[in-house]
Amino acid sequence: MRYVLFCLLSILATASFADSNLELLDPWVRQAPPTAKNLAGYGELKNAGSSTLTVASIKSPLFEKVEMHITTFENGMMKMTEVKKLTLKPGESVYFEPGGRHFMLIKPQKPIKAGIVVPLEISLSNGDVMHFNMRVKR
Amino acid sequence: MKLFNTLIIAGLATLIGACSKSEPPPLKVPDTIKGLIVDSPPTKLPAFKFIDHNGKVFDNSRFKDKWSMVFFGYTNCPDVCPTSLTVMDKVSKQPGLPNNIQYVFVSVDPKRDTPDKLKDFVQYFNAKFIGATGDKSEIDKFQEPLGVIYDFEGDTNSDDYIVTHFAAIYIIDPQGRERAYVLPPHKDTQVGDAFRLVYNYYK
Repeated sequence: MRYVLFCLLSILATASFADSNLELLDPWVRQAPPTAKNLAGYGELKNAGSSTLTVASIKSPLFEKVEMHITTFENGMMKMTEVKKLTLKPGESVYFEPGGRHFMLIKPQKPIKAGIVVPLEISLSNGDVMHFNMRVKR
Repeated sequence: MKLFNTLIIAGLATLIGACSKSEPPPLKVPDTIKGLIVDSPPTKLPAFKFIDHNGKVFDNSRFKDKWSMVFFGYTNCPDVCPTSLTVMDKVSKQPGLPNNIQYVFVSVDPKRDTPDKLKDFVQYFNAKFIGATGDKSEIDKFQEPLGVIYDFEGDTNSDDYIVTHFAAIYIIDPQGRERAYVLPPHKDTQVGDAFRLVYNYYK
């Protein structure tokens, strides 16, 4: 009985934590040389819920700041632009992948070695804060 | 007489053809290899002088007698340069390539990219990779013949500016000429196939 109650409470706790159903699938950070001042994080950001979600800001305790950037190529010319706002319709996925969108992780506060986890906090315009972990790999 | 003239012209044409035989007809690139642009005839590199990550002179002579892949970028680049260098590392481990290819990363941001920093950066991807950079006037020599264009965004007096740059991988032949380039975005199979095609045709 106590176990059932615990489970029930856990479910309630999870449910009340955030209504927004935002997922970050296959999250990873590209390991960079020790001198790197900027790293890039990738993954599939998916709105698995039934209401439209808007990313308001992103931060990580391991970096000074986090921005969303998109790389575009025009006749081979690489251009990186900051994406200030990202809106996801219900069921919509936005892919962050090399040579496209990335989470730009600016100024690491400690050495970012392969295997460690980079926490990512995504704040939504509805006030919810979503927590994700990105694994550092080559 | 007319026949004689025709014969002379035909003879001359054959002779010219034989003399320029060193340059074969342009390589036809199959649709399956994306982004490969072949230079026919090849483009001569400008006379330039950079320094490499060990502080040694890196000039035209360093391209002699070997094939090279060259990428222009900057070490603070978070996405595109690491992606292309990772691709070049993977290509370097593929079969069917000559074993003396050299892989060169040229920084267009010499203010921040000192030889030490370049060394840390390129050798992180592959211990054999070469980092090089030089004065702006030397880097800019590559703008006209190779299309290496770049621009700084943000405050270049700070440490936080972004560099927008042409991000192709150049294929340089053993005579130190640009033979081809591969446009981004880069994938290791694409760049490896492109290199093998160019190498096997022009070697």
